[in-house]
Amino acid sequence: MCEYLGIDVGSVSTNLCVLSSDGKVLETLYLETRGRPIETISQGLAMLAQSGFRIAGVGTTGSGRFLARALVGGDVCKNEITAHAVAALHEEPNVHTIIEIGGQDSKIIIIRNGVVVDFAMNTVCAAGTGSFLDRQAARLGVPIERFGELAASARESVRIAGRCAVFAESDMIHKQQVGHPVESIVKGLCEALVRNYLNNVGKGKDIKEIVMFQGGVACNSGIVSAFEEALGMNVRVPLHCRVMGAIGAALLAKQAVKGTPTRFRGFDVAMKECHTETFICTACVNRCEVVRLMIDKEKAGFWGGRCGRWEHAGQDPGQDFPAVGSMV
Amino acid sequence: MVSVGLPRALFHHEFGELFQTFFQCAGATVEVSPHTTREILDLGVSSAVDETCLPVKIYYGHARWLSQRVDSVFVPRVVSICPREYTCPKFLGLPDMIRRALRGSAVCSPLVDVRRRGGSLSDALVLAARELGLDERIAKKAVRSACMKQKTSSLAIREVPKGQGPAVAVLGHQYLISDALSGMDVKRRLQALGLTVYDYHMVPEPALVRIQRRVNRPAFWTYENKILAAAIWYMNQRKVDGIIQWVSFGCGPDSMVGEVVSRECRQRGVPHMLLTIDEHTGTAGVQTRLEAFADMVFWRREV
Repeated sequence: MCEYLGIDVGSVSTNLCVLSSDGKVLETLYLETRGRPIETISQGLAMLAQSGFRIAGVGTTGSGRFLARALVGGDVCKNEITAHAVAALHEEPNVHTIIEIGGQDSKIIIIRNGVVVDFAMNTVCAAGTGSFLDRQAARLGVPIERFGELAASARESVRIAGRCAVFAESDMIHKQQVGHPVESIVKGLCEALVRNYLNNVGKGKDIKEIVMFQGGVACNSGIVSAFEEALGMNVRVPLHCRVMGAIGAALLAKQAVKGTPTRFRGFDVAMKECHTETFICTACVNRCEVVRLMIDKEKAGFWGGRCGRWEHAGQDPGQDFPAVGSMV
Repeated sequence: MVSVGLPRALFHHEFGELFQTFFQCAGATVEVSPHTTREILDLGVSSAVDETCLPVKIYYGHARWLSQRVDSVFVPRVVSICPREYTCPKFLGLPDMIRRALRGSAVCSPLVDVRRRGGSLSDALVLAARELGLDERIAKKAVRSACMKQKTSSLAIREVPKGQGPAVAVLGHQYLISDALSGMDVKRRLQALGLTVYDYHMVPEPALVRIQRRVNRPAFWTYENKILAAAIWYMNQRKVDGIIQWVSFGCGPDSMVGEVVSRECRQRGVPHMLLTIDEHTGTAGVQTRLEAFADMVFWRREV
């Protein structure tokens, strides 16, 4: 028996999951990244180390996927869209639409006959993502866990401008000062967020049932019911909605290794001294900020350059590697 | 000898060879600004009108970089390069914007407007030579050699890549995609993901013209017309598995044509992705989207 590890390093949360070789979820972890991805991943690995899993493959995803791959020794490193799609299809082969709202971004993925045919991610503004909701909850003095319950208790909702995070906030303050009850404002905020998502991310997309809602925000029942109302459809929230990215990464790892030995460094990476250093590469005028990962004082990986010279060779390849400007 | 500065931005990505050969043959010293760096961008952003798009801000940066180093910066006023069409409205006012930002440095800005008599690109170059005090007869000869040079260099960019695997077309303004900063090496990134990459230069010119005539409502803008026609051609020829549009944040013409292209793609069931680039755009977000697009294209092929 062997297991597969999936790691999704997002801006807000770092999620780990262990899948059995037949695709069952054995363990999930949802940890707050708090701007320290290395510590968080190590913490997660230390927590999993006790269970005695024999890891046969590791997949990483999320905005911190390159770091995670270098740190733990990943076999596959995939973008969040593919990871979420793979996880959703594993859960429900007939899924047609995936709504995913995380800490800093939101996406829509359209699937037909088990294949991703279209997708979109939010563009410039992070209005309507998890961190914005967190901030508003904190400002209203409402624990984010109670958001849904509070929204459900509202008799009316007030209209909040959801297009921009700054406008939404000033609109909420205004509504609050006029005297609208908190629950109506919370419900209004949920509706505004959904309206903004459908206009911005979901623009022109052919949303069909079965609709799955994934990502941390899917735990918020206020948003779920606002989606159901706006779409006139049933919205399904999978049991492991918060860690679907990690599940997808683990599934992709399983596909990728196919019996070949894993590059996993083992759970004891968590015990080692790991840190990153930044330096400015001077090979060309671009002056990229390259990140170097050190594990027990040894160079374990590079990323962040535009031309890939460091990533490619694991050290400075010198003059052999062409600079970016010369390739344009 | 008079020295002329050519900003490596906007039209330079299309007519760079022409400009450079012309001024060299006409007897001037030519300095072309380097590929865009953060430093050049910062120079541009700090002096540009804040409402303009990224490519114009980059142009400002190049012009300022050159202004300390040459006698005159060449900033043509490109109003129209195709009959009955215009270039982007921002190009029309470019010399005025640059002149204000450079405060006192000489700017040479002949008018290019093929809607008028004597408004062709060649006429404009001769006019520029006169303004810079160069010999007009030599300048007229220089125009001919410059045009020859331009022809050979435009043949090179028309060369179609060969590839068996899935292919995508990256469509957008040449000055956005070819720029070292705003282009983010998109073509190389896609090639690294295993895709064959096309652009609108690789569409045969007669085909572009033919499609442009058939489009319901041709736009006013030369480049947007080409982008739309190229998208339609690639889909008609079934050459691509997807279309990626590379647009600059705040680009008026592209905001319209982007929507038209996206509708054409939807109708034909071809994946389409619009990526909006601004000065703050990080490469991480772009890389994630490109990877996801590539995965989708491969996945669709498999089935």
